[in-house]
Parts: sequence; structure tokens; C-alpha cells
Amino acid sequence: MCSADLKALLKSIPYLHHAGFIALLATLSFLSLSALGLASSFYRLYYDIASLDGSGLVVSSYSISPMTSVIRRSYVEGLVSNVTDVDIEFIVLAPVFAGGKVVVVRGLEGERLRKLLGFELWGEYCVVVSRRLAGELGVGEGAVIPLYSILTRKFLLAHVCAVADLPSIYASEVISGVELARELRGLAGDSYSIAVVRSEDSRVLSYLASRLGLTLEVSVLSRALLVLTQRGSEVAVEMRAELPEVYIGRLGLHRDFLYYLAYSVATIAMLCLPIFGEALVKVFRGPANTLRFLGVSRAKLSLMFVVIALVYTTLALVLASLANMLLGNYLALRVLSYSIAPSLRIREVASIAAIQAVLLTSGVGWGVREHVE
Amino acid sequence: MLTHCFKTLAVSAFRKKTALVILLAVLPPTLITLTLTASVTAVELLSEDLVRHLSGGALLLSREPVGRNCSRVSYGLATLVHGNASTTTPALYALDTEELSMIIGVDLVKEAGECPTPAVLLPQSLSSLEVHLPTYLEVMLGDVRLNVCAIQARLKAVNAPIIIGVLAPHTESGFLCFTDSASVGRQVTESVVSDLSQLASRYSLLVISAYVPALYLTTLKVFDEVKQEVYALGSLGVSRRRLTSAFTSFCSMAVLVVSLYSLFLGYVVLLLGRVILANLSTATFPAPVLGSHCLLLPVALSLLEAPLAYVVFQRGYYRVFS
Repeated sequence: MCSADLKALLKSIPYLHHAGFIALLATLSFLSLSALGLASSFYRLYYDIASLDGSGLVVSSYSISPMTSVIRRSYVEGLVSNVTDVDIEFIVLAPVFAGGKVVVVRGLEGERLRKLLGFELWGEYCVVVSRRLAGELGVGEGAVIPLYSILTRKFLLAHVCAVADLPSIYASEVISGVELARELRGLAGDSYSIAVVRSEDSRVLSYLASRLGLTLEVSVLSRALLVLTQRGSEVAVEMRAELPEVYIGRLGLHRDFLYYLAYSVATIAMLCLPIFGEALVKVFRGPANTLRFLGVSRAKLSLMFVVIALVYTTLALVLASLANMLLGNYLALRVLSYSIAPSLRIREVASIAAIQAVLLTSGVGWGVREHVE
Repeated sequence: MLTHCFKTLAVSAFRKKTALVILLAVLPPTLITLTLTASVTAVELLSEDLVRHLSGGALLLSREPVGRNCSRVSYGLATLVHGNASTTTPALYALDTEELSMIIGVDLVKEAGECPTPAVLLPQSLSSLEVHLPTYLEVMLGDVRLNVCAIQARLKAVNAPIIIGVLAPHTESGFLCFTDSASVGRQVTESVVSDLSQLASRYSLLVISAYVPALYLTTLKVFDEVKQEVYALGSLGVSRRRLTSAFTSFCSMAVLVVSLYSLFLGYVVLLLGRVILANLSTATFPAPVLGSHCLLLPVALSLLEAPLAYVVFQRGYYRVFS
């Protein structure tokens, strides 16, 4: 009986009205999802910079960001001595100013560089850029590009040896040999920015932690950060479960603040939903009052409106998520040369759905009180 | 008469608490725009503070001159050949040797010493050619092959060989400038801030446009609340034109007042947030600045409301008198 009434109610207004409501809700959901997605992507940026897509440990100094961290090769190698099945990637990162933009130069060592590019770099000042970055910097293959190091305040001329199709994070960076990046970063021979220790076997990572006197769960160890702090000649080690936490923590902001801010913006963006809820009942006012006349209770009618609101919310969220995937780049945030597009996870979508449902339902309640006799 | 109509509608709407409904439609875009503007301003202020602490000079090669101490130079690839060994490296071409010497702080003519021009001055960092200098090297400048005298020079500031007395084809031209680090730092932070402000303005525009339907629905609600008064005034002989003007100007005014209220409310919230953050974290945030451009938003919303109110009134008027 209730479903027949609901069907009658839904059919009582033109499809265009339904589409209009869903489109309005989808626009607001899109804005909220983008705000949350941007915060989430921004938070994950350091994982991407360390190219830590599987499990591994990132060794860093206690610095504000990987751009300013400095570690010594000998220390990290000492850490993994007598350990097999372990792969260490040493990375030098140097922020430079080139072509009116701040770009990150990533210096990689021989084998790793060959694996990434598929060819060897020739010449000391040879760099490789992605097609997208080459377009942004206005350089082509064979061009000479002046790089001004922000940290050493020196400039040097580099040679764009190749413009290549580079995967994910590398597409936003200038790829070079480790020596050039070191010169731009102002580091001595044995120093790097960060090291990524990877192992297929999580027990190896666990063993490494135990060698440092740290006992932690294996689940925490994957994607964790080893922080080295030099106090005189002694190197102290601490471990953080979340890689970005220490970097954001050093700025004095706990990561939750970032999320609180994003959730506030996302909720504020949907603050007008009670008006939509009220308007929804108003649109159905005529047929709803007819149903009341035919004996349908107010409670039942309210329930039907809540069901309609929830269906609208679901459809709007599906549309908004699709729009986010297709139009996310329009709202991409640029941090250094990285383009951070909103990325969505089920948790964020579910939170937005919950906030939207509550606000819309409150509007429906307001509408029922005002328009249903 | 118009003032009377306006007052009647305003008092009636105020009594029926329509301000709350308008607040729901106006507060979100105002608050979001204010927050984003304040964030961009905060980053700007923090960057300026950072730049202020930079001291000393810096050499910068750019397409446009930076400051007054600049020398026009050319740069491109050059291949240096010595016997069987060769190296391809970026090179700098001095168009005005004297001017360039002043900029990099090395007398290039003196450094060239016994080398006649054209000459190539090699920096110490260029280690791939193991030759006893001075010597003659073959330099490939594009398709041209020249026999050039090469000498080691003390070029601390430049990593590339400087070629004097000849210019290769297909080179880029620019300006090598000696400037203070702060002005370079400013350029760097400007590029960072402009990226952020672009996103902020894009997001604000999206929010404002997404709220146009909400503003329309709100205006419908306001009209519903005052329709009895509209009917009464119309029955008393007030023309439709006067009533339209009164309703439109009332709605615009209401949106202006409510958005100004939202703006100041948002500002107070931001100030409070700053105090809370200052207590909970070690970071210091600059106080949000409420510039005159912030007032543009209430004015824009109020102007946007006028045509919406006009349409709502025209559509509603028939229903009231039918």
C-alpha cells in the first residue's frame, strides 16, 4: 500500500522536477566531495613523492618536508647490513624555480633511473621532463633550461635530453641524475634527501625496526617513516606510523585539523539543503494533501518524503562522484609542480551522504509541517 | 508610495522570520569565499614574511630582466671535441663581455688571458674533458665547427662554459641578472600564491553559481510569506510596477544585509579559529585581513538577487490575483 502511494506521489510531478532536484543536489555534493578529496590527496602527497605504493619504510631526517630532509647513505646502509631481500632507493629532491614556476628536481641513482626512463642519461647536466611539464615550462628536447635552486640560491643550466611519457608523480618533476640534484640541493657526496627501504617480506621490515630497538606491529610498519635526528655524533631514531604526519606535525598542525577544515567546508557548502528539503515537500504539496484526504497518515507521508530524499541523495552522490572523476582536474590544487586532483574514498563519500541525508531530512520535516495539512 | 510598500513587505517578512531562510542561502557562499580568501591572504602574508628574511645576492637567468644589474646573454647546447673525447653541455654566450664580467664578478677578458677570441672559458665543474688547458678545442655550434681556444676559468657562479667572441645559431636569449635573493624569493612565492588563488577563485565561483538555485527557492519562500500583503496592497490600488519594484528592492536589500552579516560572522569565526589554533599548535597564523574586495561578494549576491526576485514576483503575481 505504502509503495503504491509512493509510486503515485513520485509520478505526480514531471520528470524534469525530479531531474532538477537531483542536479541541484549533485552540484552541492560535487563541491563537498571536491573539498574532502583535495584534503585527502594533499595529505597523501608525501606517499606519492616517496613513491611508496606498496609496503616499505621511508628514512628521513626530522625535517619540515622531504624537500629539506638530509640523510647519510652510510647510516642507512649500516641499518640494512646483513639483511637480504631488501631494496633501498636513495632519492635527492630539490625544489627549483624554472620558467616562472616552482618545480621539483628528482635525482635518482643509475639503475633506478634506467628502470624508470628505459634509457641512460648522458652528460652531467642532462635532465628528462614529461610531455606535460615540458609544455608548461615551454621547453622541448635539446633545449637548455636555467634552473634556480631555491635552497642554495644558485642557478645552473641543464640540458633537456629527452621529453618522455613518465608515470604518475614523475610527470610533475624534472628527472635527473643524483649528482645534479645534489648540486641543486646543496648536498655533499654521501647525502640524500630520503631513502625508501622496500621488502616483499614484512618480517624484514619488522627485523629492521627491532634492530633500532623499536617494537611495532607489522601492519604499522608498512608505509611507515623512520625519522633520524642527529644530536652531536649520535643519531636518534623514532618511528611514525603515518608518513605525512611527521611533516605536517612539524608545521605544528595535527593532520586531523586538515580534515576538520575540509569537513567544515564540505558541510558549509551543503548548508542550504533544508531549503531544498522544504521545497521538495512544497512541490509535492498538491498530491500529498490528496493522499492525506484519502486517509494516508502524516507519519507515512513524512516517511515517503524521507525515502524520496534518500533516493535523490544517492543518485546525486553517484552523479557527483562521476563528475569528480571526470572534472576533478578543473579543481586541481597545485603544490610545487604537483597537480593534486581530488581523490575519493568510500569513507568520504559515506560522510557526505550522511550529512546530506540529515540536512535534507530536516528540510523535509520543516516542509511537512508547513505544507501538509 | 514605493517606500510604504517597501516598509510593509519588509516588516511583514521580518515578522515571519524570513531572514533565517535567506541566511541559509547566503551564509554558505559568503563563508566559503571568505575562508578561501583569508587562506590565500594568510599564505601571502606568510610568504612575504619568509621572503623578508632572505638576504644576499643571487644570480638569475630569466627571459625578462630582473632588476637593473642585467646582461643580455644567449644560451644553448655546445659540443666540445678534443681528440676522440667529446662532451655536449649547456653553454653561455657572452654578447657583451664587459657587462657579463660585471654581473658574474669575474673579469672574463682577464680570465681568457693568452687565449685570443673566440675563446671558451671552462668552469672547474666541467670535469668530463680531461685536457691540459689552455688548448684548442673543436666546438660544434649547431652545424658550424670552430677551432676555439679553451682555458680554465674561476667561474664559481656559473656551471656552464662561457663562450666569448662568437654566437651559435639556434640559441635562446635571456638576461643574466645579479639581484637580491628577496626579489627572486618574491617571484617564487608569487607563483605559489597565484596557483592557490586560482583554485580559490574557481571554487568560490562554483559555490556561488551552485547557490543561485538556492537563492531562487529562498525568494519563492519569501514571496509565499508576503503574498497576503501583496494581495492587500494590490487590492488597495498599488500598481503592479510599484509592487514589483518594492519586492525586488526589498529582496536585494535583504540579501545585502544578510550577506554583510554573514561576512562579519565569518570573520569572527575565523578570528576565533585562529585563537584556537594558536593555542593548540605551534604554528602562527597571520590575522585574516578583511579587505575592501571582500565587500564585493555581498554586492554581487545582492545584484544577483534582483533579477531572481523580479522573475519570482512576476510569476507569483498571477497566482495571487487569479
